Amino acid sequence: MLLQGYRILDLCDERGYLCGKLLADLRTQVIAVESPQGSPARRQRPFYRGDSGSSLSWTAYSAGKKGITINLATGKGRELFRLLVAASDAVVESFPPGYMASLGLDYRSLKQVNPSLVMVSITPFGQSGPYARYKATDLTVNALGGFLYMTGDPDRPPVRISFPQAWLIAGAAAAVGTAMALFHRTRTGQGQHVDVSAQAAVARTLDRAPAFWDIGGQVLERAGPMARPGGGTLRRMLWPCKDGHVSYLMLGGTTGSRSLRALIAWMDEEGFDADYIKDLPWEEMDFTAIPPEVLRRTDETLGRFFSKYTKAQLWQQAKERRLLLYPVSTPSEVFQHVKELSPHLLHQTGEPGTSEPTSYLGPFLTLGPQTNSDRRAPALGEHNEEVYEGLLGIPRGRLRWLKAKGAI
Amino acid sequence: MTGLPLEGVRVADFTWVAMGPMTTRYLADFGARVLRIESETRPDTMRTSPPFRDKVPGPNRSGAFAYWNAGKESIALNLKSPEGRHLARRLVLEWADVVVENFTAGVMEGWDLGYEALAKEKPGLVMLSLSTFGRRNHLSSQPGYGPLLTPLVGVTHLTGWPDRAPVCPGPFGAYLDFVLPRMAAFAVLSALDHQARTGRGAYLDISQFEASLQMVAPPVMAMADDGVEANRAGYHDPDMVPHGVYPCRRERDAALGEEAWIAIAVENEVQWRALKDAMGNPLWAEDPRFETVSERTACEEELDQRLSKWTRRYTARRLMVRLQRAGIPCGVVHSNRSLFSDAQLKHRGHFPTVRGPEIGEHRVDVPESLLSLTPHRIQRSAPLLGEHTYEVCREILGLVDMEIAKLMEKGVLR
Repeated sequence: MLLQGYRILDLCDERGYLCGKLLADLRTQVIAVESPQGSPARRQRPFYRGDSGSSLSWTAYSAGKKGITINLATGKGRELFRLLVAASDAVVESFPPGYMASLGLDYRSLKQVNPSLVMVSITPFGQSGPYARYKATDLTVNALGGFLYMTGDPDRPPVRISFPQAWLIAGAAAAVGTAMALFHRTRTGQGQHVDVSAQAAVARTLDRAPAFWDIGGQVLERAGPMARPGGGTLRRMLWPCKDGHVSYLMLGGTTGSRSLRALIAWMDEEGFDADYIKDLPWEEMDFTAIPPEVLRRTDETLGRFFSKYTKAQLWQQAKERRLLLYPVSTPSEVFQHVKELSPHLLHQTGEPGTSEPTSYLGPFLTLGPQTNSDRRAPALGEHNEEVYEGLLGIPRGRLRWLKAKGAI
Repeated sequence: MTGLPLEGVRVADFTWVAMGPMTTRYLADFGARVLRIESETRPDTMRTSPPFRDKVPGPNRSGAFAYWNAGKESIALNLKSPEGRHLARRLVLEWADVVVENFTAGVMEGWDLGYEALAKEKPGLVMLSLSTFGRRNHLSSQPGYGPLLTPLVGVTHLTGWPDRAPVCPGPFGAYLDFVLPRMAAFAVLSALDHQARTGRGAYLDISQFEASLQMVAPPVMAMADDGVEANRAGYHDPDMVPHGVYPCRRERDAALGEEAWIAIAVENEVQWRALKDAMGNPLWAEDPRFETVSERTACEEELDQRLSKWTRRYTARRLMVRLQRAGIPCGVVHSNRSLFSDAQLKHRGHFPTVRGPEIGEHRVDVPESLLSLTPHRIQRSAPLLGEHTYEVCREILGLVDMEIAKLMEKGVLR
């Protein structure tokens, strides 16, 4: 497997733990390093049965990792951490800028212990600059990254995706930085520090919106279920149907003609009058070229057609006829899609002697029958003995002593 | 020597539209030589999509295309002709270390450019396929594109207000198209590293559906385990009140019709007291109904209205600096215009300027990871369609001018 043989220390809380998850997906040995009180990421919503001790986010994003505890506030704990760093290839952390330095554990210090170390720091804005010390949440990072402004209904304030995304995007970006630095290390033996900004990461999820200002001089406003794929006329992307919504963009040209013709054929079969749409030269109409008065008529017809069917009926026909139409799925429907399309991704925790099992997903990319992430997230300190004894060779008696001293 | 980490890595880039090109941008930005294999007979949709320079359409004038293809080269090759496919195959087998494509599953195979056919002759090849459902799935040949994937995996359902229909996440609803390139580039880099360590190649058959699930796994699992269906919640948050977006005074440099907002998130009681202080401790805020987060939740609407009255007096930029000084998480709600003047993004050099022959000077973005030893570098603006056809034919494929002329005439090199 691709990253087999690497060992990575993951100090991230929820502001970066997807990075370690992705690394584990490709078989890196990822060791989640937590304080003895447990990572704040263990208290992230949603909770299983409302129990704040059972975070489904932790379960999802720590799958495939081993877990150890260490108290970095103590000298003994920091000493132990340096031993771990010497035996690892990379460290990934998401503390505020300056925190690791205050412990004497920043890149410059850790490089003394492991000269070829790769260290990756994930923060809201980066290690330096005017906002480096700014406080941030998912909402404010999405604001400063430009995502909010273009999302929402025009008659209400901008709005976010209700499940926090900014730290996940930053975590995925950090995985790119980690692999890039590891590749450079493989070729040259040199380690380095990788500085990841969540704001910059969000600013790279805006489709071509920045170019619309830079080249087109156009500020893109939020438009609810509509969008301006051609920059000009608003077009409907989300359509009500009998029991919810579906996503469909009436599109000609290379991308859409075939699918649109197939939809028209279905409307014909159902005896639905689609002559107006049928007679338009879709093959020559791409993202730019539909006049608004034409859109008004086609939208009205399509809207009436979709509202006759349920989401499931429309999705079924989309699959059979290869339409570019997909359902706006609710979480329960997404779960059904996973069961139908990718059952191999579904896993259950099944912790012996603890609470009921909860579900989590396997890797982002399936490469073979086995990955690390078919292993559930670790319990607090679950692998202390394995790592401290097995990896560092610390005798059991000394471990007990370190525990008593509060270092572990 | 460029000093870039991917120096010497050669990428045959068959991708088009957004997700694929953004993936290979990561490789180009860090020094790989990325050769786009494209054709005038079926140009990349982004080449024909606005915004265009001076609003004049043309395959080399699209800002959308320029944004995701800076730093790459381009050969025009008609893959519908057998000779075109033969040359593409030669490029892969004789030149490329990496192949990246994002056609509907089956298209590359139909051209005899599928992984199995290529790896038989080049076992060390790294190949990435990005398709909606991957290849090991009964829906594998289902067509798809960004505006569809995002609703399918539940992101769209979770975007908007609880009392309203869902809205498009981001400007065109294709949000995940711009998230997944990170996982895709990560997979390619991991495979390159593996190849460097073991000599072995890899096929990375990414199901966009499966990769996307990572972004919404917890609410989906909450449904599976608890039967609790998550819904879009506006900007309501159970642990933070106030938590929202509040109107501000217009900035002087705002564009016509551009709105001004600030996002504020009060995480705890310390920050609530700091916010009250910043407002000058108005009488209304001392009302015991606003004392704790659960009490504030009960009268969130009133609180938001009162707060809005106060935020309206300031520009978002000034208010952000002031509230951050008091330790309150907040941020300007940047439009696609004001983003370019953001002080922090400027500090990181996030929007460098490049210059292309037809599109002129324009700005592109850069990766969000700054590497201390081997930082990214934008080498050039996006290529004209077929800009490097001649060079590639001569230098990589070893063709002589006569042969090239003949292929041009036959419409293979277009």
